[in-house]
Amino acid sequence: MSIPETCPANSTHPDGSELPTIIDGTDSIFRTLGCVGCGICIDVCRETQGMDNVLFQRGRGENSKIVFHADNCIGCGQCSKNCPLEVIREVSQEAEVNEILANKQLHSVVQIAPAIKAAFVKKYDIKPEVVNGKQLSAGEVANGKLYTAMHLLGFDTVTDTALAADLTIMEEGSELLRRIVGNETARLPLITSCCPGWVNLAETQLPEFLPNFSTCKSPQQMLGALAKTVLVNNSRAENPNSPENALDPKDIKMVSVMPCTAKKSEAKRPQLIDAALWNGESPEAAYPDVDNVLTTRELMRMIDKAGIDFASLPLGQADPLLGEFTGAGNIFGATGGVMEAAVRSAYFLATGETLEDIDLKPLRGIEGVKTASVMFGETKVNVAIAHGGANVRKLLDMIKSGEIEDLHFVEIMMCPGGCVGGGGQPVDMTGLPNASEMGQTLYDHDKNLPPPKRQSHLNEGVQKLYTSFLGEPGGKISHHLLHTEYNDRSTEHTDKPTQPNHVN
Amino acid sequence: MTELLTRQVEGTQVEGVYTPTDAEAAMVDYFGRLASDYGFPAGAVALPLLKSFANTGNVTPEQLAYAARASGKTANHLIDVGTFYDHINPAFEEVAGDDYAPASGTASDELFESLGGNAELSILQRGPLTEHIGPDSHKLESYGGPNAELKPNTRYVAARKASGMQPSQIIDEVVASNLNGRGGAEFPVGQKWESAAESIAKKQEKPFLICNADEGEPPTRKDRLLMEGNPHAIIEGLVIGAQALGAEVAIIYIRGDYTESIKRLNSAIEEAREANLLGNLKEIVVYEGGGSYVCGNATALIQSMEGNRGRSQSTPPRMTHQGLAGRPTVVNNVESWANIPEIIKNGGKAFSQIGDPKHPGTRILQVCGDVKKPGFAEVPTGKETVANLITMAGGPTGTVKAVQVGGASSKLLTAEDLDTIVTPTELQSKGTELGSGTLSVLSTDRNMLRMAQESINFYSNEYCGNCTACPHGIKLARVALGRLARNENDENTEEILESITTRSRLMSERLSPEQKEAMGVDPSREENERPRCGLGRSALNFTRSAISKFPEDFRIEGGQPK
Repeated sequence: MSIPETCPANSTHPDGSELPTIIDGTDSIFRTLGCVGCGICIDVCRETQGMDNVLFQRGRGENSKIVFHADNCIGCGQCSKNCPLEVIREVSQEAEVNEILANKQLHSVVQIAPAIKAAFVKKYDIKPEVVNGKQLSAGEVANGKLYTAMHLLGFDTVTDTALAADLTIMEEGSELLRRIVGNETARLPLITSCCPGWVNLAETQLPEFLPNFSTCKSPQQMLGALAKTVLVNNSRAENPNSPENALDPKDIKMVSVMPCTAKKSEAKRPQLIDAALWNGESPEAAYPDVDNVLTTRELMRMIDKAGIDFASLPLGQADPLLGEFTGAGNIFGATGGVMEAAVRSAYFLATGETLEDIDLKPLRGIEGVKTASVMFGETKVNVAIAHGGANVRKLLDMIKSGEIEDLHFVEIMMCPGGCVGGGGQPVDMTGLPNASEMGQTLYDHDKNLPPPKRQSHLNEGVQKLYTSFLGEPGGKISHHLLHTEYNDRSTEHTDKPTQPNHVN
Repeated sequence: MTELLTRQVEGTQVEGVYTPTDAEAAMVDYFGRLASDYGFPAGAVALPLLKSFANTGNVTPEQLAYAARASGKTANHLIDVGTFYDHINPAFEEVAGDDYAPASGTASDELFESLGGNAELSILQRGPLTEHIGPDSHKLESYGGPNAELKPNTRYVAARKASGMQPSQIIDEVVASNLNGRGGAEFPVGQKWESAAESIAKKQEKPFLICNADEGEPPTRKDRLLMEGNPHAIIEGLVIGAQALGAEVAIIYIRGDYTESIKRLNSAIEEAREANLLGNLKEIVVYEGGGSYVCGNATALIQSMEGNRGRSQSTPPRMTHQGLAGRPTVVNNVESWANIPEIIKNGGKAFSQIGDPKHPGTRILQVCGDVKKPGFAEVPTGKETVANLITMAGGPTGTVKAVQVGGASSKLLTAEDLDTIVTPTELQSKGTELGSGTLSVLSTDRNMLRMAQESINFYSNEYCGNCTACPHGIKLARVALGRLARNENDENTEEILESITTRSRLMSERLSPEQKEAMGVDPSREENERPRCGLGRSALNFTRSAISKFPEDFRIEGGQPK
């Protein structure tokens, strides 16, 4: 049977083999011809993400059109994950990554975010296993297989974003304590800045919250900056007599795999060139800390195309310098995870003692807005967590109106369920129940580790990085490589949001 | 307030404050009260306000800001909502700016006209619901016919009887009556009420009753006949329903351009209220639609009332469990509600013995199109043949080519089948259905390709787009028919016709993945899924049946229809 060529679905085969005509898009996502106007993207954007100024549907029937105001888009990618015809997709960097892998001159480094592991567990139905007499959780098994898959794809160094998450905890935890006990109380609550969708939203549309931002980079960016410095230092140390054999930082290409489309735009932020500046480049000639970002979907496609039978892979290892992580860093991928990891370590940093019970259950769960208080010795620390844009707005409104007072620390994730529910996750893993299931994978992974492997400040890899290179949390070198600026971009922005008072 | 004033609509700074008209302020109060007292959705005020704005010209950002505050929606969302409805779409051109998409045009009117819905329709034969319809029959004093002994405040005889019955007894009577829904789907009304009663008991929530009066099926006008001629029967039906289910609020969601019906319903409700006849019901809300066929689907209707674009939703959850504002909701057609007093008056059993036992009762059939005296005949089901009904309507104006029974979304009956008895079972055996109860007689001077195009134009303007099958399948059919009509690619005619038939099967039938593969389509693709509402499932019915029954009309030689 032949379909007339005007049939709208003809141009939309989701296998990625042919690039259909692009209608519009951003750094993170684009929309192609073939959109039939079902409006599911609008429901997600408005109701789940609380954004009422990005996608519109005017008219009805064949006359109707979906209008995309790219200016206001924060790149979260929920539309691309939920589009039933896959006409909204991530801006793919598969081809660029394949070029990097094919170029033997270059040294390719890859980092994998925790939420990716959970998605692979779900996709390949990975079960807990006993390996060498050790009981491993499903997340650990998938983690090991992912390292192997990365080596098979041809990456030279495999690193783990969870290590940078541990590092974030050290930096953000000490920042929090400085703000609580120091003279920076005016900037409480401290608000997390690791979610790029949230950063985009605050910078363009809610700049009043920027003074509260943690100056920490996101784990992706911390690891990018570290790969292009630490690996170089290490290589120079290994080749003391032949510096020409040592790694040239310009040849290092950092590819990150993220459950997120907004990470693509984050990597392109002009200020995120700190490794290059550290290595003595001029700002004009500087290379980015992170070169390419792949979504979970893109990685799964690459693995399929390479003919790798993921489920049967043996478990591999990550790079010893940039691959050691704790369960605390790993739960970053679930809503409340950053908070839980931070509390575990900040408690220690503040009191010198370890929390009795490090399973902080009140911080878990899929409730949209959660609040809790933790006693740090004599000091009561009040925290709040929100995930999914609509809930984020709700929490921010409560903070603005004074409905919630005396908050010290706020975790914001734009996607429902946290990164596990990210816009770059597989299209068949939409909705909060799926996100929550994947979050549980991360918690199970954490739970299965011995206590020292569950607290960021006990991460030996992180400790080694501080002693050998970074100095101390918040110190000069960490400040240069691990912190950044968040700027008010609202003036560049003409199309301001209307008050999303329909959000509930 | 300041936040509202700095609100921006599509980049335009809103500076002024909108002062609502008295009527608009009253509307906001009214719906505010419905929300606070009876759990009505806050968004319900959106459509009435937008309609009111549109009546006086272009909608302004200030007005949108006002409506946004009243409805709890955002201004941007309200532009999307406004442009969805034909009646008010043009008023949004300015405020939507470059993003504006025009109204769907005149396809709906054209199809009503073409199938005979706009003709003057007389009453050809009367039955219990139409017996007394006349110039003043909409008034309470005439309800139930001339009877000097009956004072206006005693005219709700059935409701009075019901008030002495247990709720479960009322439901039992409706179940025993075997009344099938008169909206087209033939779903048993009693079963609906029973399942609502279960949910009401389980959830401990007050239900909403909805009378679906958004009569959009071309060329059907039978609901209008009842609303204009016998509104008290509908209201009494709702009063009885409220008694049975414990509802405090009933809603009549009515086609927006039925101005006379709206007027008469409102005054009938007032009369009933003054005569203290509303029983349990605290409010009957006459809610005017905005000109959208798909809102006749219950799930879309609910969306529309909640202040959203009227997009149909998947079921379950069933309406009776989770409908308007999440409450158990019973949605029945106008004629279904009007039958309730008859059932209570004479008992469910007596009703079940009228006409065809499988589909008992009388039906108001509309005979129109190419007949000499188009009109309505209220007849017991299973009695009359199609030919008889055509005779009642003064006979055909020409030679009968086919009859479209059941409205625009159903299939054709050919001239050979005019002896078919008009009842759902018989019609189904001939491949069509009773649907909304109209018989559009089509004479031999009608060209089926043209008619199919009119039909497809209608559907392509009306689909909500919430599932992908409609945008895909309807557009495919529209383009394909256009090519045939322009005599392009005529060597591919068979293939094109085949593709429409395949699409129609995909949209209307439940097919297994294996069956789909055998038809040469990819079962994993979203657009090959069956649509979730009746609009999509029936959109290609007429075209497919026209192709199969009058293939010669689609094979054009020399660029002109034969």
